[in-house]
Order: sequence, then structure tokens, then C-alpha cells
Amino acid sequence: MRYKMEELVPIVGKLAEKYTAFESTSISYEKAEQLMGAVLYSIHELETEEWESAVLAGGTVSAQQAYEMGAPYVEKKTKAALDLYNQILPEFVCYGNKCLYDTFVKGLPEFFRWYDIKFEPQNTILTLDYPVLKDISAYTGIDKIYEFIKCIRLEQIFFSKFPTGYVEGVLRGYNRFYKDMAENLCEIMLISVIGHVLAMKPLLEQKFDKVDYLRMQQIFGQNSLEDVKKILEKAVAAFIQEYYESDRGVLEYLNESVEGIAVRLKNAADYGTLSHMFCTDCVGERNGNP
Amino acid sequence: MDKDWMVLLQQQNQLSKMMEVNRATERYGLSLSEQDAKMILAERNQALQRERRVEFGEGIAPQIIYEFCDSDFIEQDSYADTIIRLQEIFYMYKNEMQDEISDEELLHFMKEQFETVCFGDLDYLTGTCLAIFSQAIRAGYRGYRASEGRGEYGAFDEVKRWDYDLYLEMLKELCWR
Repeated sequence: MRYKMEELVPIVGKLAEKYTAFESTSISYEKAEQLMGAVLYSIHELETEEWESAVLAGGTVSAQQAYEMGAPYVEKKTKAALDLYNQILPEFVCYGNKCLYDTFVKGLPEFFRWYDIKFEPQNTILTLDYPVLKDISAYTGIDKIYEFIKCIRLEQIFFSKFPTGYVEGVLRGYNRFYKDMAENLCEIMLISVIGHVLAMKPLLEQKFDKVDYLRMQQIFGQNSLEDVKKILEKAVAAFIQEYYESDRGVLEYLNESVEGIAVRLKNAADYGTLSHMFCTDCVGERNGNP
Repeated sequence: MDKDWMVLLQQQNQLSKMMEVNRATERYGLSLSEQDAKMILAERNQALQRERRVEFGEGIAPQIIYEFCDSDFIEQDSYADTIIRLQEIFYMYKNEMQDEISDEELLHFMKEQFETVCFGDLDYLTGTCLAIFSQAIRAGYRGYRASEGRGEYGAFDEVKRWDYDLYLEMLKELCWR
């Protein structure tokens, strides 16, 4: 932030007057902090725009102007996020997963209903319980929601190439209570795809056998973590090139989780428990649990 | 976040505005010296800090003075002290009423009770009238919006007040007997 408090305070004062509809000459500390947050958020929106950054770097834009120019960007982004949401919704599939359904279908409309562009744009309102692969924790307000919707769009593109029954089968194989899980479904699917690519097994054959696990065991056991990560990235890239016409968005999104998957697969291979990665229910079965 | 900016927000010079109100209050025999005005503003800052509030624009003190200057229960001797106290009560009850009530509505309510129910007793105003009314507002009462805070207390008053009709009836009876 390049503005001094002396420049920002009058903007907060004016905003506070609008907030109280000129009916109150004072507000609580909490409300004042909220309004200061709104001013900073709008200015930040302006700073994230490339051409505007150039103007700001020249030092010709006052804090008041920056706020007035930034505020419409919040509105513009909200409209863009809503358009994207409406675009995804008709074809949206959640495979019965409550967490994804509640977050996307039930939660997001409430966000758009209650989001306050002018007086509290920094409030994300939702906890966004469904975990996406991209780290969006640094974002707040509409920035976070927009990033979340973009992630869901990429996940939906990824899922669109698989028949519904097939995805459900993979998810059920991973955890028979997958409908109640609060885990990323895309990652589970990706692990299965990686397994198929590495075991050179057709995707139609859902279950892995001992030979497949041995083949994977060899790959992960003989390579360092860094190499395993490279192998997985190559496998994902090859899969995306084959089925998604090298969609960069989907590739970059899936690559967000490759490092984590590499660590987990390498660790599983080191301890001879690779099968648990592809079928967590098998753990209970082996232990004699229901 | 650093709270210094909140101090900046309320550091606008309001002394001249405070002195200006003397023109309106002089006809009621009330006026503030520059020292009184400074004292009111200093107490205002403390009250705001205590109540965790930030004030912007002209501030509430001039409005309190305009509202209460024609009161039967404010005299020059205690004028500044009364304004300071009213100021504290005002901020306290803005919080208690969760900012649901506007400045004007709250001031109308305070003035009306100060004159007609409390007869100048600020302890009664804050401890009884405002306490009961704020409780109603917190419970969701919004009738004051239509009345601008006037004639509201009767519905919530827990004490049986002087019955003027009964008084007149008795007076007629006694005089005409």
C-alpha cells in the first residue's frame, strides 16, 4: 500500500457517512475497521490491474481517486464471478458429495445475495468448506470467491471426460462414504489416473491388482522424491495432452496437487502401502473392520 | 491494525463549531466559554475511547446542545457538566442500541424523557428510561422510526405515572362541591 493514513482517513469518513445514511455522527471501532478494510480492498483491486498499476507507479493518482477507480473493479469482478457461476451451474455435477454440493450449489448463491460491494467487499462470507487444489487462502472477498469458482470450473472440465458412473466407481473405491467426505474429488480421480498411466493400465479397468502395485512400487522405490514429482508431472501432462487438447488451465490446476500426491505415493511405496492410496476402504477390510 | 488512524478521523477542529452554538443558546441564558468547549471536546475523546467509537464530521456535542438548550432543567452553572454527561450517555446508548437508532431519534427520546419523566435527573434517564428502551430495541422494536423517537417511552414504562385525567376529575369535584 502506497498511501498514508492521512490520505485514507477522509475517505473512510465519507464512506462512514454514507454507511450511516448521514443519520449518525459516530460508529463503533469494529465498523470503522470494516470501512477502512473496504477502502483498502478497493484500492488493492485497482493495484492488481496491470494498466492501472502503471498509472499508480507514476504517482499521479491520489488515494481518493484510487478508491473511486478501484471500487468499480470490485463490482465488475462480482458480475464476472456470477456470470461464470451461472455458466457452470446447469452442467454441474457433484457425484452426490454433500460438501461440494453445499458449498457450490447452496453456499455461493447466499454469497451473491449478501455480498456488500461498497461497505464490506473484503468479507468472504463463506468458509468454502470444499477444498480446492489451488491455495486461495491469501485471497478475501470476491477475489477468493472468483478464484474458487474458477477452480470448480476446471474441476468440472476435468470430470467432464469421464462417465458419471466411472467417477462414482473410483470415488467409491477410494472411500465407500465418499458422499460425506470433505476431500477434493478431483485429486482422488487424479491419483487414480496417475496410477493407470504409471501401471500402463486402461482406465476402463478400475481396480488395480498386485502386478500394478508392483510396477508402481518399482517406479517410486527407485526414484527420489524430486524425480517422482517429475514423473507424475509428465504423466499428468501426457494425459491432459491426450484428452484435453493440452488445456493449460486444467494442467496448471492439476499440477497444484502433484507435489502432495508425489510425497504421499513415495511414502506409501516406501512402506509398501500403495494400495491404501487407491482404496482406503481396503485398509478396513484388511484389518477385519466392517 | 494501528488505531492511530481512528484518532486522525476524529481530530478535526470542532472548537469553532462549539462556540458557534452559543448564538442559539444565549436566549435561553446558556453559553459556553472557550475553556468549557475545550473541556467538552476533551471529555468527548475520552468517552469515545471508553465506548470504542469513532466520530466523524461535526460531532454530536453541538446537536446535543441544540436539542437540550431549551430545557427547564439545565442551568448555566451546571451547563457544561450536563452536556459532558449527556455526551457520555449518548455514546453509551448508541452502543447499547447496537447503532439501530439514528442520532436524531436518540436525542429526541433522551430530551423528551429528560423533561417529562426524569425531570432533569440524568441517573434516572440512563439507569431506567434508556436502559428499558435499549432493551426493547435490542429485542427488535423499531417503532421509533416512524415517530422519530418521540412519544415512545409510555409503551415501555414500568412505573405508574401521574394521571392527569384523574387529577382534573378530582380537582373539578373538589372545586365544584
